[in-house]
Amino acid sequence: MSQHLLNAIVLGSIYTLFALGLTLSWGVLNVLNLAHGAIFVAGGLTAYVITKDSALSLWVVLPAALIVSGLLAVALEVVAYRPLRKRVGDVHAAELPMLIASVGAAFMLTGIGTRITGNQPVGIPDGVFHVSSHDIAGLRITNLEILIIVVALALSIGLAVFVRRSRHGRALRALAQDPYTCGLLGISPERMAIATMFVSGALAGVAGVLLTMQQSAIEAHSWEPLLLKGFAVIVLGAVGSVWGAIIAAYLLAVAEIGTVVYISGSLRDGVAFALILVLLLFRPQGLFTRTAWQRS
Amino acid sequence: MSLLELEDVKVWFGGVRAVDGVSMRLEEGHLYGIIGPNGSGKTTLINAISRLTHVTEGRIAFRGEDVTRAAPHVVARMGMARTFQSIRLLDRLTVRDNVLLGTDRLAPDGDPAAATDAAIERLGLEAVAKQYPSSLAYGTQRRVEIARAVASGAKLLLLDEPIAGMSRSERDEIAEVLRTLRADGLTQVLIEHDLRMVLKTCDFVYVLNLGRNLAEGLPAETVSLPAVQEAYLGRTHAGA
Amino acid sequence: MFDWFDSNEALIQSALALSILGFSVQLALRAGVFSLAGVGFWAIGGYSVANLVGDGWSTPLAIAVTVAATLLPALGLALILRRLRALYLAMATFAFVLIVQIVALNWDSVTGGPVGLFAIPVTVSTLGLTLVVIACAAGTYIWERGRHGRIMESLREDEQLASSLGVDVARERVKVFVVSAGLGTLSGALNALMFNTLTADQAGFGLITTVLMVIVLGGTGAWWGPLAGAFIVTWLPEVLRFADDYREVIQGAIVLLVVVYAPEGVVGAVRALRRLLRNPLRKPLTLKEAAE
Repeated sequence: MSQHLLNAIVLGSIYTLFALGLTLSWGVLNVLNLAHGAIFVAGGLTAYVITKDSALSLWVVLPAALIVSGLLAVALEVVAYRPLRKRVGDVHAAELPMLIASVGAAFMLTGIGTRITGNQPVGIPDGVFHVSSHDIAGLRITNLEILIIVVALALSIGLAVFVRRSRHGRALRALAQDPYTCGLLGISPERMAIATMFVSGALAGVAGVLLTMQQSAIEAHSWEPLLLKGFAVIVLGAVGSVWGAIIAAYLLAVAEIGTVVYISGSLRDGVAFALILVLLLFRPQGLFTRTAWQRS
Repeated sequence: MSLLELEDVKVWFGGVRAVDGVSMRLEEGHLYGIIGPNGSGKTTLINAISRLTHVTEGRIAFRGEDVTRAAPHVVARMGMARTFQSIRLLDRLTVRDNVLLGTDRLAPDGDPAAATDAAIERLGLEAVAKQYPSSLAYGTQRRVEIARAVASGAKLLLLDEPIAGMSRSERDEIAEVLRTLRADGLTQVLIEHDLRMVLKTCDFVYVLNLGRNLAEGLPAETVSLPAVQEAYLGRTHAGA
Repeated sequence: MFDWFDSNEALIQSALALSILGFSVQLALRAGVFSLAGVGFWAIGGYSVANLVGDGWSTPLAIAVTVAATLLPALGLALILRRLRALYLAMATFAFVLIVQIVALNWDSVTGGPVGLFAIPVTVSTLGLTLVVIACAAGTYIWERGRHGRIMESLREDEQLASSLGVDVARERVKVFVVSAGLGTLSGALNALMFNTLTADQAGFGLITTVLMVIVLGGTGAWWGPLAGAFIVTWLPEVLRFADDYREVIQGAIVLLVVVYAPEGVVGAVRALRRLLRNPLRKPLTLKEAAE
């Protein structure tokens, strides 16, 4: 059972990194970014592409993936979301068009991904990061899994603290409330939006690389099962709340592993979806509203 | 039986007591004013009466029926209409269609087209009937909203600061409209900051302060009461 | 001309069946109800009629009963979700669609599980389908005009105002949701009985994105938007056959560009064209003309 719990923690770590980006873009910028999954995959694919012919170190691969994914997210903001917000004016009325634009972007990125991978699963050579297994306190864990947990916790908690304590964090919260006033206060909403999207994409890219290594492979469509889980996490944790996303991610992972082990493997994905429905019915504001930015 | 009765109405939002014990009796055919310094709860009160906000305590009766817990569309269908501080017309509909929107809840035996045309004529909007709201002057847009209320056959019209942001002549225009409607028998409640407007149009005035009744009576006398003056001045000096 | 018809019959059928799903989403979006639940009911409709017709039911009866029977769960879902708005409602209906898909993947006896249903009797003709589509289009036209159209407009633009004008907003939204779900069921039912196979993977994220494309490309501004959109979306892969490997990329790019720069889709483009044709010398427009 502890082994299962450990697996859940590893899974939860991936979910955390993935969900953080989503909660940022929804909470701060009102974007339900359905291209987030494709950006996540782009991270893994970047790692694949640059290590195809030379086994670079992970310490090169991770930043590379981080940057590519971050920039893709920024591109989306500049090419689609910002013009849309400007044209539509009211940020809430822009939600549906932005959603649809993100669908278009997801298609584009997935299409490119399919080209790059030749529609096959691809992976990263072992030389990039040699995976070794260890026995700690009777549990089997690999160094990769330790890395995943550490990276996830470091980045997520770091982000949570940053948002709460720092000046930039306060600016983000101001942006979420009222972009116009933000501008009047000398905070550039456009620059904050770009920064937010960059972080959102970058985290997804890191998650993509880590998952690719953990599962030994990734495909252009690998994001599909993951996206709704991301939404389950952020709805559970309260849209916009970083701490909420962290806790909810691990909770979901535990629930999923539990379902697989004690009920049935094929219902695993259903856990996330059922969670979304149940939450939206009874507590749409999530479990951690106090720390969230989001209003109605 | 009064048209609208409020008995010790309270509207609390958590710790904020926006309305904290207001009572009123409005008789048909009159033009009432509700005045008071900023934050005295006027808009919240109107929202409570038109049922867009919950009532924490107290009772509201409209046309003899208890509507304290009724849904907004229910009191609307009973004959209550209102305007909001901002102009709320539908941009994609013409003036005529916007006014028609008011009639969409008329009893089946009502004649929407006739009511609409009558209202448009009454409010002097024939010239702009086929235009769209965004091309109209602010004062004209407000008149369209009032026409919409008239076309609906409402018995009570609540106006929340209808002339904010208008020029002097537009204000006079609206004041004239309200007086005309009063002559037609429509009961109106006017929330206003512009005391000149209130003195010109209202038969009777309620003064609110800090969510409660402060004074009531004929406009000229009530406005000059020391307590009322103090409430306004005190507020201004304290920076509200 | 009939040759073209024959060789493209399958595409025409696809487009027509898809248009009904388009009408489903159109109706909802124009009332400000962000529901994609029609896609979930598409699957439910398809599997239901496949089973009924397979058991010997007559087609019209199977379809009628299925649509009628799913109105009840649709009502239940509408009531459950009634407090949700905008993105939250969209997400909830997404989740519903995917849950339906998971049920479809696991309920082998009814849905054939992951393998799906094959050899569903083909009992719907192109003519029959066309008649149903015409009925839906006519229904949408009537739905969107006059008093009812104004009420829908007010629901979308300003709910609070609508409510203060006597519109029972909650009830209207539920009504829209249920009708939208019913159209989804109808679309799925016709689809199953036309194309004789139904697999669970047809009714998930892919179909959601397809119908969103229909709405965006066609435009929601007029009753014929979903029709135009459905035909464009169905023909696009054909037209883009030359770019075979990059088809997905180009499709995605088209959607992105259209939604950002030509948000009113084909409907908007046609209206702009009409205005242009009426005014070739670019005379200043009267307000009425400008607003059309």
